[in-house]
Amino acid sequence: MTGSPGGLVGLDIGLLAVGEALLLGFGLVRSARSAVRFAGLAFMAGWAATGIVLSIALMAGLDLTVPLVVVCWGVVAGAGVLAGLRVPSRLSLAARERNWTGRGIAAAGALLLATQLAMLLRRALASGPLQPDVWNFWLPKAKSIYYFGGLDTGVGGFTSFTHAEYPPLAPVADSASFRFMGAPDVLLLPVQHWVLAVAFFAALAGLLAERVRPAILWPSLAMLALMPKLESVVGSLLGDEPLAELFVLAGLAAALWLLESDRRLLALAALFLAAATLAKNEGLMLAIVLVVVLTAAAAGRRNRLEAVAVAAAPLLAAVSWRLWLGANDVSNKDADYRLGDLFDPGYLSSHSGRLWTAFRDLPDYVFAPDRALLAIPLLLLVAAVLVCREPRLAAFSVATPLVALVGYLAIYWIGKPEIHFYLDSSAERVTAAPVLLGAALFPLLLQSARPSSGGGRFT
Amino acid sequence: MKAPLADLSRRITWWLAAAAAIGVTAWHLPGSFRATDRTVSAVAGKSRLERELLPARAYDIATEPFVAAQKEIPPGATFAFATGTGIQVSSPLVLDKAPLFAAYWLLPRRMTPDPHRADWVVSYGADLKSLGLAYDHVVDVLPGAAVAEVNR
Repeated sequence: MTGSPGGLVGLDIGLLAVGEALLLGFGLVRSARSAVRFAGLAFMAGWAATGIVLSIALMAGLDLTVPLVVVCWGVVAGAGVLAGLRVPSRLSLAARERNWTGRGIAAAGALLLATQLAMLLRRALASGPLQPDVWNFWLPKAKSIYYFGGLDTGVGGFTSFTHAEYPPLAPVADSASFRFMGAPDVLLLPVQHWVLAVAFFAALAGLLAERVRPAILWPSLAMLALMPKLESVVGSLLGDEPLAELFVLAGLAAALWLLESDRRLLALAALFLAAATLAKNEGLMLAIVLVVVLTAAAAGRRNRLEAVAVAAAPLLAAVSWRLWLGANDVSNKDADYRLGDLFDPGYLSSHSGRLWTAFRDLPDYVFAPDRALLAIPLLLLVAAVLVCREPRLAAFSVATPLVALVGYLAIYWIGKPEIHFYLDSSAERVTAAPVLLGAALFPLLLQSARPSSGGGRFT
Repeated sequence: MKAPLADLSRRITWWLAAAAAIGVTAWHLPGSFRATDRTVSAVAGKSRLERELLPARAYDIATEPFVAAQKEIPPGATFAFATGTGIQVSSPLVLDKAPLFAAYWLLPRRMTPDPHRADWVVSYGADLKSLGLAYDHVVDVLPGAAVAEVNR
């Protein structure tokens, strides 16, 4: 079935508009210039908020229709505009290059990034081959919402596919795309995911521009865009794709909060973490890791409890989904692991061989240059330089990806599938979120560690 | 003397990190562009239907029964997908994956695990007679593959 690209343009304009209204509420957007600078962040915020509200609406029994999406936009945008009346503006200027060498390096980096994004579009347009999980459950769930209206628990409905216990945000978002296309066009859908990836890079640029000079920012973003780990998830239609993007943005907002103590950045992190929790089961684990590390990095500061408050958003999101699962008697028979096993010493000891296998194999997915372009080793190197000047930022940037990887080690330890199969079929994509976070924080650390840099913000 | 030395080592480390980031990106660039070309050429010249069926072809699943079932079974109807050894397969994985592909490909038709609750049965190597059902009509698609409407 052929979908209408024009319909997707309409959806994307709506997501951008609602995101701009949200950023108005966060005090980030106050002028046409700031609206343009934060357009990527606005799109991502609009996408995340729409996904959360639609997921909750469907849990409440509503059907996903275009009018429902428009009503949800109205609610979110209205809340953003109302908040904007009270929340003060967060003025900031983007850093600029003072000489031609710097401008040349920045332009070369931006050109490389644009070229790689064009390459990713070529891949998205050449859609057809899908990873098994995509046609086993991610796409069937999205199509079932499109065809049957909501979260249908009947025969052949949303909960009839593998991993019925997975949260609904990714299928809900894809189903909204189908609605706006006018057909469940699985060949056109990767283009919408590419748009999300472009917005993701624009969001990173918008957030980093005030602290990182262009000659560092644009080549670093080009490196991130060329990471095989990112190339493998963008347009894949896997849940790991939005999960990684949302987690990275939450992590960057949290890192900036460590530097600025601006609680509006925490609100942004909370929004992205709530969406990540509703995107995939591991989203809650990643959210908890981020909040714990952030709180630890903020130790000794008066406002450290603000970091703890961020956990409320992902916890509420997780509870809402658990309540829906319970109310609809949805079993988690397909779950790859049972969290309770983590507290069973007998189980852990009898499965210790799994931990050793994962411990031996997982680092290759994180450190191999042909998978992650040295993102984590470089992060560790720059953090070592920065540790005296910005210890909190250095500790947060290193610990968040590493503790997240420890979390995944624990999951492999208690997992049910045969360990080699489990690693082969999932390690590449599940390590994307922590590794991409490390790569996204690299330019911030590199700028902060720059020998002649004051590491400050341009206001 | 110690402070300038520490500062120098920090400077060297910083420049090393920046150079390594640029170097590893440049090293990966040609491979990345070649991978994109491979992805594009893998679907070049294929029709829309062929591209949509690629996930099944990746497991060497015969796609004719799915196309026929999509034509025969009306949207919203319930169907069961029965597998068996009556069809030639290149690996046992084919019979594991075929029902999963059917549940995805044939939406908005609803797949049920119980043939006795189905309006239609899609056979992929199964013996339709052994299911204990009566059929209104049977469309033979391939040797060992058929789409049958259950007589209710």
